[in-house]
Amino acid sequence: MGVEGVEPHYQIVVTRDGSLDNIEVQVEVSEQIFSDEVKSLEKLGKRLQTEIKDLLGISCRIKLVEPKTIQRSEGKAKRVIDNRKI
Amino acid sequence: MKVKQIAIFLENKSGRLADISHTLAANAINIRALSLADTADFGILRLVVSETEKAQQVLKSAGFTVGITEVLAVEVPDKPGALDLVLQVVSKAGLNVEYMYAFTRKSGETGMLLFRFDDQERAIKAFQDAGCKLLSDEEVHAL
Repeated sequence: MGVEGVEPHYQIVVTRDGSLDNIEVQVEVSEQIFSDEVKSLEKLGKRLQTEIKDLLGISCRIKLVEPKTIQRSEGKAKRVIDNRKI
Repeated sequence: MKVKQIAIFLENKSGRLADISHTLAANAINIRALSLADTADFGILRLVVSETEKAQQVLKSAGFTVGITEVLAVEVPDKPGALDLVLQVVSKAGLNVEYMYAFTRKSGETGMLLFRFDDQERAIKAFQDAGCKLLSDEEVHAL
């Protein structure tokens, strides 16, 4: 996904609420996209949400996280954490 | 007429604010003014400090996302109605306040209002035309 300024590091966390699966996409905030205004960062989250919905047809929640907080993997990156108890 | 401020991205996690204060303390950086904006997931800490560039550098090294932005500092007397006079100027000029914070410089004497507007240049002109005292970057950092 080509959203300018968004770090390539992301993680998807899947949880289950009743019979519904919820997807949270965690994205690291780089200096290029960081703003001192709350509304700019909220707008970025909404834009990512819309792009994912347009591209994949999936509704998800976007969580902006601090840089380097998503675990780096030396090999295959662990992109999805499935916390559902099925 | 603009004052440099640092802004730091914070996740809503216990201890992150203390990590920032510890980094600044360890580098002998003094905080002049502070404001924390919070949402459900994250916060933005805005600081006016004694050494802006040094603060940015040490916080970056500590792993934080840091930006330097400019705000306007208006000096007001520390008495009832002082904020209202300034906000009447803002309102009459039709300016949009993105955010603001304030603190007392010396109790009973002066206070300082820090503003971020959507149109900073127009705000400077409106304040100057109304006779409001705008503080320079040097004046604020030398407090």
